[in-house]
Amino acid sequence: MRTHVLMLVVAGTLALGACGGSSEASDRSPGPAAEPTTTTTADQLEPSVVVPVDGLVAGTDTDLAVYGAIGDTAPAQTLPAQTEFGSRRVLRVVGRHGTDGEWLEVLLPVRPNGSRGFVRASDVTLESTTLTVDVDLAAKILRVSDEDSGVLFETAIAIGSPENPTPTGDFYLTDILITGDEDSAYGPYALGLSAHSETLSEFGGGDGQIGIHGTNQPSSIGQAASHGCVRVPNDIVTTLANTVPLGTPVVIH
Amino acid sequence: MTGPTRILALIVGAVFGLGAFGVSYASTAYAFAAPAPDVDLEIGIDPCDLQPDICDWDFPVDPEDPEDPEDPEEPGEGPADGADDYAPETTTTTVPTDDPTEEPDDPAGDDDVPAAEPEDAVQASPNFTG
Repeated sequence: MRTHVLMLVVAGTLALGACGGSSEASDRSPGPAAEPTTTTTADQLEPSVVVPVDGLVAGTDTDLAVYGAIGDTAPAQTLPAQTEFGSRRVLRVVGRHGTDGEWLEVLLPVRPNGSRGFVRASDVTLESTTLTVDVDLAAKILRVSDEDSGVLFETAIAIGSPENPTPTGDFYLTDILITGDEDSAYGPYALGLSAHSETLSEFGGGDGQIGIHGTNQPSSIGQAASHGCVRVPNDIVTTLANTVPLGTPVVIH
Repeated sequence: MTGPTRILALIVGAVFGLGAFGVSYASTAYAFAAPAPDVDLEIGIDPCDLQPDICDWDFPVDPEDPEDPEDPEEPGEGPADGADDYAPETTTTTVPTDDPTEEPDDPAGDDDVPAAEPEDAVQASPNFTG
């Protein structure tokens, strides 16, 4: 064994001698939702005697005089600048009258359903929308369509019961209300229409206005279970509220 | 000695002879094949005590050679020199938490603020027919 040790010592000495005994350290471095609304002014429209229009919306920031006939000097009624919920006042335009198109025929958000009136084009700001909400009561389906791109989405709905049916006709969107309580009977949003119930003159302190809203009873979707309103799933009413602007036509049939 | 007895004696002698040869061969083979006994255990002497330069000397290394097992530490860094020269090699791999080529989910930080309410929407308690 001692021989082994000596051999190791000798080998180490030779190795040190060969390297000069120095230590060499090395450095290592390691929806498509289309834009639905545009704004124009009334005097930008082509003058005509009678022009049916679709998707045209008249808005105002002031109280608006509504006339019963073209050329009347006294208004038949005056609509407040805002709805009872505080929404900006808009009316759906269904025709233009006069040699200069100075009269606009509008749908009114009052009873009876389908009421029409006339406003001066100079009293309003005109907007247009390419969107339409179609409510099919027989199929219990609501569709949102764009004039250019077709159906954007559709959903099953709950409609009015036989005792309090959902009214039919041409209407438009008057309000987009944030309820502030997703668990309420209206869900997160309630969209007011220009329609009113034919059977209920009053409901919950209101005048029986019809709306499209969410619900806390999703099992009622697909049934004729409401007092006349159109119920949709809460996620759909959220999409709806973020898609359709005030004045959007709503056709219920 | 009779014939059969002689034959028996030859057989016995051959058997013992082969056995002795086998034992001798096995012992010799073991002596050459067995590893060298540990010096410390055998005689209690550490070669480093006899020639400390052997143990303190740092062999030059090739930094480009990934197989070089030399301790990369600088002198005086970490454990005493030589103490971890034969420690298992460890590899540290940095795993990126996000794919740098992937588009950020919210580059504008819009998720940090509440979603905007619809235009013209107002906060109100509805009284629709429900």
